[in-house]
Parts: sequence; structure tokens; C-alpha cells
Amino acid sequence: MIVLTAALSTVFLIANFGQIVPIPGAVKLTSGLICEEADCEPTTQMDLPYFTQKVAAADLRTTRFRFFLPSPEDPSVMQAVYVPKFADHIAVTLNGTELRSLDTTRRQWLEPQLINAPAALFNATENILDIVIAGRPSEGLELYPIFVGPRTVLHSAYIWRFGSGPAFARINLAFMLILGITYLLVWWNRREDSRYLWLGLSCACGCIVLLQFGYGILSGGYKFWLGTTHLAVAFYTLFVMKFIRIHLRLDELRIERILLLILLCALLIVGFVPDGDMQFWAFLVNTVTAVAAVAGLTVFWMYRTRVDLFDFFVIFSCLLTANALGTYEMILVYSPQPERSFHLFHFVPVCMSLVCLWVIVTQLVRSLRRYETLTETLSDTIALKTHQLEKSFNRLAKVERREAVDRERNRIMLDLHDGIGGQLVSTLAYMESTGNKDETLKDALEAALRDLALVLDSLDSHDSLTTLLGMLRTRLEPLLAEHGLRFSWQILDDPIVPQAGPSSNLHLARIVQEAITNVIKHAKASTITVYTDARTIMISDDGVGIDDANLMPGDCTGHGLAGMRQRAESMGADFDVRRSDKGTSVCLTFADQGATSMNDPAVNT
Amino acid sequence: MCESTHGCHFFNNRISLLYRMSKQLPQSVLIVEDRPDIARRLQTVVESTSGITLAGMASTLSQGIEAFYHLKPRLVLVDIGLPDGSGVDLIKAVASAEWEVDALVISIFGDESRVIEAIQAGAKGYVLKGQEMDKVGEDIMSVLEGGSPISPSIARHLLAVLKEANVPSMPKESVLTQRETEILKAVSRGYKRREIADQLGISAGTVGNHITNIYRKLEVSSNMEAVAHASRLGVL
Repeated sequence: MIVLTAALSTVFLIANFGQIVPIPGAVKLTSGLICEEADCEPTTQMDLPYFTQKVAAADLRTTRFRFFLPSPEDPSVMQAVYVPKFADHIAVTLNGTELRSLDTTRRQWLEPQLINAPAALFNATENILDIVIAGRPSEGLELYPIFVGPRTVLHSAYIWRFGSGPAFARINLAFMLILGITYLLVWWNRREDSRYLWLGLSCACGCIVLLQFGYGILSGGYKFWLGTTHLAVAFYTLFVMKFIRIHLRLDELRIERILLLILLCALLIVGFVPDGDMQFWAFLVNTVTAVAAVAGLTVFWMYRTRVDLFDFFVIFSCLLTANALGTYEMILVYSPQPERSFHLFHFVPVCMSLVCLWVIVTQLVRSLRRYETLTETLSDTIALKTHQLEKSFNRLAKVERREAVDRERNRIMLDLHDGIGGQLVSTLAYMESTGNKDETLKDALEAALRDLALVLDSLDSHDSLTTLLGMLRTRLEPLLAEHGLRFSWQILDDPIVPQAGPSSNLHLARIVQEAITNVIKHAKASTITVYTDARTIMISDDGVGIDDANLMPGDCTGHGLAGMRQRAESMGADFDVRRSDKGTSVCLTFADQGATSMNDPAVNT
Repeated sequence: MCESTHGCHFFNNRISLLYRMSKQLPQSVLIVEDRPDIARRLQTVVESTSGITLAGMASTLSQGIEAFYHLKPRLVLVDIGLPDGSGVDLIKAVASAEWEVDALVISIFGDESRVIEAIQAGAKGYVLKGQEMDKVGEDIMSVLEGGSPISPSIARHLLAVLKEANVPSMPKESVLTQRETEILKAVSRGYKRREIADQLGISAGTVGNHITNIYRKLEVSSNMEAVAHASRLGVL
């Protein structure tokens, strides 16, 4: 990191931004006299740039220079004196007329001066330009080459230098103020995220530095402004380091604590440091800050995988540039005779603020995207769950309805069973116990009991017709035995009825009961065959066969064929009665449902 | 009417009946029935059937339970729908009695849902009260010998209930074998024991034993009725 920082600082030095170059149409003064006394006698020859030796003294000292100028080529054009770089205060006199008096309320070390020099003040032959430079010996006084010429010629050079120097610092100051206040407001409303606090505080430190670069404020005395400015740079570094560290989701770094400790110590001892030694104090603070900045950069490099590659590139380059600019500034400040005249350090706060802003904005954008994705997913999930809930609710409602129907059916069945059934059995038992031999009554009661059983079976056959037929067999077998009949049972499959349920069951039970009653009454048969498959139910006998007349539509012979046909149609079945040599067959055929025994979950498993 | 009263099964079990009768004669019967005519009829049946004798009669659940513990009968004939409660409570008391005692449900039609509830509570079978007196006696003797009455509808209920035993959480003892499932399917379609035996190439007695085993499995899975109920409703 040190090598990288040094390399980039070297690049800045080689680039030599703000180099003082000759201005076409203007006279560049590079040599003159240093006046030992106020009347400029005696004098010493010197060349520009001129630097005084830095000594540990803080009183304001002055140095006088005298330059000799030729007359302007065009006396009608407004002339000017352009002083691109000096430190810290300046007074300018032309041929005895003071053009600019010494102003020691503001430090003008970064502020170029363009001073109007009316052509009338110029002599025809020789002109004398006296310049007084004032400043602190500990910081060193300096004066770079001066230009004299038409104002219009000098103006653009002045504007460029002023614009990229103090003016830029002033604009940045406004920017940092707004940004700092914004960060602190955000932090006040989102205190769980301390990053905004450190950003706000770093902006405040940046403002102090920029005040110095933009306006050269000297309020509070020499020690105060010097100490404040250098500590602001150090604290600025600390706060940015904290921001980056939290952004990398790291615990507090040891380097942060050490830097804070050193800065607090520096703050404590600053009261005891003599004004003349403040520059040494500042040098120590700056050195510690530079070391901490390089350490911070190293930490960021170590944890680079914690941020996106692009983010890393942007942040790292800005941090490195800030470090290099800091180093470049130290070279300018602490060189006895700096070759470079243009300061760049006021670019650091804005550079870092922009990168921090970048980090915050990109994170905000990512958060928004995540939020949108999350909202989308949430909406999908809610829609899905709502759908599922709706389905469950419908299913539950259906189940509840079925349960209610089931309960009601069971209640009716129990009522029939215990009520009417019990009465019938009781009556039969009573007849038996009292020796009542009325066969008609007994047969009627038994038939009623069978009929009740038929209804109950129809209600509770679980939509399985074969079970219903089985129950019918159980009920009717004693009756058949009484008449010398027997069953040939051929149940192959459960018939698939279009509308399965108790209603169809009862229709089928009545049809089969009617058919069997017909066999008992008319057929003179010995065997009743009951056959079923998926589409057919057939009851046939080996008796004499039904009369052809009875097969005609509108049958009213007591065979009940019309009723059977009607019931079959209600079930959705084709009804057919046939006579053959071997007897009669009653056949119910169901339309092909295209599936096998779907209505028989228990048996067909 | 009850299938267990017919066929070889009945005669095969005569030997064991004779053996038991030689050891413990006569076997006392307690009748718990609220309809006086039916109660009187059953009384006649018991009194006229050799091998069993009437221990006592009760017309309410409380009377029945009191008489049961007082008389300590060998057999209890109990109606489910009693005026002061369900006969199932008495069946549970029979199942947990300290002496050898069986319970039979008195039913009009062999209505399967209540018969199954009774079997799950510990009843050994059911007798139909509307039958000829001789047959009622035969039914009682048949059940006492270990035969288990079954109707197509009961078979179908058993299939639905015991099918649920095939889930891993159910006891293995209640899982139907393939042969038992075949038999239950055939019974549910109305086939008689003799016909099933012919189809499967086994004896009717073996078919009866299978059915008895199935009843035992039903007792094991006695708390599964709710599950089966849910299955019938389509919840599961």
C-alpha cells in the first residue's frame, strides 16, 4: 500500500498540476531585489520562486521585494499585476502608489491575486514594483514568479487558478455542508445504522479543512486554526475508516483505537505546545494520520471479497487517490523549497464524500431491488397461500356439509332402525308370545321389516352397489329358501353408476327386489342368477319365462315392469327384459364411463 | 340369516363346544333389553336352548351393569340403544371383567356401524332379534364357539377401517393380510363362506378363522374409527 501510495503521489508530482508557465503578452518577473530596510536600501539580488527558511517562530514577519518593469506596450490598455502563488499576505505598490495594502485578517496562501494597475501609473522609462510578503516563519514565506501585463491577458490564467483553488474549495464546502447535514438527519432517524453518523462527522471535518482552503480563516488565533485544521484532517481519516469498516461488517479495528488515542493525546498537549513549535506538532499529527490511512487502505484490501468487485474498484481507487493527495500535500508543505506551487488536498474531502455517497446510493438501489423482489415474492406467496386457503376452506366446507349430511343420515337410520324397526320386531314378538297365528299379518310385518332393511341398506352401502346386492342377498335368502329357490352369485365388478348415492341404491334395490318377487311369484324357477360387471347388472332365472304380452310397453299385469323401467332410467341405465328358453332376464346397462370402479374406493384397493 | 350359523364351520366347532360344555355347564346368560316383548322372546330363546341358562334380565344400562357384577354371567346379550345410555358402556365393562365372559350385541338388522363400534369395545359378535327363535339360539351358540358373524356391509366397513392400518403409524397387528383382504372383498360382494372357500380352494372353516382374525385386528385398531371416518369423508 505504501508503494502504491508513493507511486500515485509521484504521478501527481510529475503531472505538476497548476504549473506556472509563461503567459503570452505578459511580462514574467523571475528575478528582483530583496530590500533589507523599508526604503529598500541596501538590497540583495534574488530569483523567484523565493522561499524563506522555516524556523520555529510564530510572529508575523515581512519580506520586501523590488522589481523593475518596462513600460506597457499599449498605455491605453488596462494593466494588471498577477501573483499566482505566495504565502501568506501580500501588499503591492507600483511607482510609489499602493495598489494592494497588506491584509492579515485572512490567509491568502492559496488565493492568486490579480491587481489592477492603471496605465497612467506607469512611467515611460522605468517602473518600480514593490511587493511585501508577510507570514509566519515557522511555515515559511514564499513568492512564486509574478506576471505584469494587460489585464485581459492575465485574467484567464487568474480565473483558472482561482477557480480550481479557493473557488473549488468553497463550492465543495457548500456541498459538504448539505451532505453532512443530510447524513446526520438520516442517522437521527435511523440510529441503528451508525454509518451515517460517521459520514456526517467526516463531512463536518471536511468543512473545517475546506474553510481553510477556501477562505483562509484565521479566527481564534494561530494555534487554534492550525490545530483545528490538522486535527480535522486526522479525524476525517478516522471517521471515513469507521464508515468503511462498518460497511465491510467488521468489528472495531485496533488501528482506530490507536489513532483515536493519539489524537486525544495531541489534543491534550496542544495547549502546552509553543506557537513556534505548532508546525512540528502538526507534522506529527499528519504523519500518524498518513500511517493510519495506509493501514486503513490495507484492511480494505484484505477484506475486498466482502464487497462487489465494482464497488471495491471504486472505493479502493478513491481511498488510494486520497492517500496519494495527502502525501503530495505533505511533500508541498514540508519541502524547504517546493517545486510545485498548486495544492490539491482540497480535492480529498469531495472525492471521499462522493465515494461514500456512491456506496450509500448503490446500497439503497440494491435494497430497493431486494425490496421489490421481496414484495413480488411476497405477493406471489400471498396469492398462492390465499388460493390454497380458499381451496382448503372450500374443501372444509364440503367436508362439513358431508359430515352434516352424514350425521343427519345416521340419525334418520337410527330412528328408522330403533323406532319403526323396533316396533315391527316387537309386534312380531308379541304375536309369537300371544300365539297369534295370523299368517297374513305376520307376512306383512316381515315384508315391512325387509323393506325397512332395504331402505337402510340403500342409505348405508357406501355408494357400492355390490355391497347393496350382497345385503339384499342376506335379507332375501331365507325368503328364497322358503320357496325352494337359491342364488347363483356372479359378482365380477362394481357397476359404475352415473349418479352414485343412496337414491340410485334404493332404485336398484327396488328393481332387484321386484325382479326376485316376480321370480318367486311367476317363474317357477329353482335358481336366480345375479350377475354384475362394470357396466351391467342382470337378474335371470331358469323358470318358465315371462309372457310376451307382459313385455309390451304399458304393462299392467302386476309385474311392475313399468316402475322398474322408470327407476332404471332415473339411475341413468338402459332397462331390458328378455325371455329365452331358459327363463327370463332383467338387465340394466350403464353407459361406459371410461374408467373402472372409481366409485368403489374400499373394495378396489 | 347370520352366515356363521350355516355350513361346515358350525359343525366343526361342535366338537370344541362339547369340550367346553363338559367343563362348564350350563353357561349363564344375562339379557339387557329395554323392549319387553323382545326381552321376553330372547328369554324364551335362552331358556329353550340347551347349553345355556338364563342368569337374569335388565331393561336399563344401570340395572344391566349392576346385574352384570352381581350375577357374573358367562354371556351378556345387550341392546345398544338403552333408555339411560349406550350398551357399549356395558360391553366395555364386559371386556375388562376379571372372569371369563363374552358380550353379544342384540341387533335388528346387524347394522354395521353400531356392530363395529360394539366389536371395537370388545363384543364378540351380534345376534339378530327379528329371526326365528331357533336361529337366534343357534347364533348365540355359534358366537360362543368362536364363530364371527359377518355381513357384506360389515365386511365393507372392516375394509375401510383396516385399510387405514396400512399407514406406518398404525400397529402392525392390525394390518390385513392379502388373503384376509380377498375374503373381506368377497364377503362385501355378497359371497357366502362356502362360495369363498371354493373360490380360494380352502375350507369354509378356514374362511371363518380368517374372519375371526379380522375381528381381532379390529379390536387392535379400536381407536382407528375416527381415522376411517375421516377417510370416508375424504379428509385423508
